[in-house]
Amino acid sequence: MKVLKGMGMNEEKERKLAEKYLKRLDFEKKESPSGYYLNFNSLNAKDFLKESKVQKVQAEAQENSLIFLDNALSTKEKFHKVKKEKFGFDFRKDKFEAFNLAFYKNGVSTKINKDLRLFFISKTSQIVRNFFLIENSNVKIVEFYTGKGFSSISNRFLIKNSVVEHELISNNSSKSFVQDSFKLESSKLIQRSFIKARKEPNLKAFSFEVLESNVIQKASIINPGSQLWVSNFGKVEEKSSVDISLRGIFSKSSTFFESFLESDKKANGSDINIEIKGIKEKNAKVFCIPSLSIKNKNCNAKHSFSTMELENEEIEYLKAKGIDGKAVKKIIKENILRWWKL
Amino acid sequence: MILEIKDLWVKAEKRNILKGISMKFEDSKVYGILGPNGSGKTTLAKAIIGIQKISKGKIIFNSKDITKLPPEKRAKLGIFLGFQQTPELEISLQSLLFAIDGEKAEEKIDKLKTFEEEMGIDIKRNLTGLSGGEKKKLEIFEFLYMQPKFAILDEPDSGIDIDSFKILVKAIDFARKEFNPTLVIISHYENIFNYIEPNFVYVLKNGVITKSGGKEVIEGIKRHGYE
Repeated sequence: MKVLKGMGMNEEKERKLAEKYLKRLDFEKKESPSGYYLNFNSLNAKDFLKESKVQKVQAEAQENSLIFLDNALSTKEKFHKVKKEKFGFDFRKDKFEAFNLAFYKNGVSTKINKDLRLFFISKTSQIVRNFFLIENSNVKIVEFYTGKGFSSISNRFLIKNSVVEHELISNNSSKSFVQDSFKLESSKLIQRSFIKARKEPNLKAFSFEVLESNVIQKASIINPGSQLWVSNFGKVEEKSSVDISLRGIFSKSSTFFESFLESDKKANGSDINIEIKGIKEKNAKVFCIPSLSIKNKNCNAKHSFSTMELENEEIEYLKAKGIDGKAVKKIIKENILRWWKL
Repeated sequence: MILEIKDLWVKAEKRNILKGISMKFEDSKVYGILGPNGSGKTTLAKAIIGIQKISKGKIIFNSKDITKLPPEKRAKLGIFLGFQQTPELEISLQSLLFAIDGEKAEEKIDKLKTFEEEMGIDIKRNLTGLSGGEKKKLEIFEFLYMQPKFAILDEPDSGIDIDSFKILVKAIDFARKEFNPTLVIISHYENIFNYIEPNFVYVLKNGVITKSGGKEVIEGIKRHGYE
């Protein structure tokens, strides 16, 4: 495993967590590049102005198939020309830019046109904005938020002719929100989320524009707090498929799942499926609000939602196999949560 | 004697399902329990493993009264039930085996790789959306993995195709050579006993044992049915 140092990531605890997690992801087993531990919040505008530092970082990034640029630059009008050179288009015309300007605190813009894997770990209690432009590549991106406090994550993905695996692990965060948006062309996206929410309301909102692409979105949620999940497919166009499945453990609270899905008139022959399953503990309330707008008769759309309480039959079956009562409930829950990795 | 059932009664919904059953099972022998649908065969199997409440009677295992022992402790003593119907579970057999044995499970699973491949099963897959035959094969795999002293296979032959049936017979032969358990095969078809010869047969009907004896009992069923 290669660990990139001197990039703002100097805390031993986080480094160990990253190494442990990378091991779980089997990064080591794969061929070069052998895995990266990268803090996106490494460069700021001042650094960028220091040519020597930029050259050094760029050289290191190039060696490791990474190109990155701090989003602080996007607040400076005079850097638009540079950004256009670096990224090939004008940020001022992108809506995400405005969003970033409004909420900006930290984040990065990353252009990827090589096969690689990115790993980002943070105990952040801040706002993180990442922008990924991915073309002609096979990419795995893992974001791991370990913080217990407020966190807000907003990613914007433009994906063309690529296969992207995106994993988001949000651990012990409260009052947090994730707001990611994806635009896909001739690509495949597999997005997995593991969310351990706590106490405070959480918002997870995803918006998609899908053209001739496949999207698989899977999530496991432990939810002692209130959760609002929104998957918004504003546009699903032809030859596309969308498969969303969520698994949750709901306890002592109210949870709302809202899915809005609109297939475009051009969505001829596309398949759309949203499935939510949950284990509900006593006193938990789960609300599901499906909203489907299908504008093409040849677009297949399905929506299902079910919750269950642990049945005696299941508990007895596992006990008969030699697992004791407490362990039975634990194993069932753990497997629902592990499911997102499969 | 490895297991003895004394005057076992099971009542459910104000109806007696088992009515004073007594049975004896010896070490490393093969037993057949036959009977028509609704005769109480599965209820008996569940009572032995401890997930069916009994109203009267005793179950003795290796000279120890296990009547009040919970199912997980009976399983740990070496009693195994291969279920006729398994529930839908968001858990894989592999996870289940790891929950039982921890890291040791990996090595034990590896030793059974050939069977996993021959059976065409995927033990990493969750126990949901599986066909009846697939579930049966997973139960058989688990039986080989657990190497129990006393195993009840509840209708292992129902819902499986001819190739799977051959693998089932092969798995049981393997078990008898490797760990030689007392084997109780429950079925309402006598065909399986053409391939796995029982030392003793019980016939159960309406919650009572109507016949018992050697394999000649099966011949009688073939000719006259359960009447």
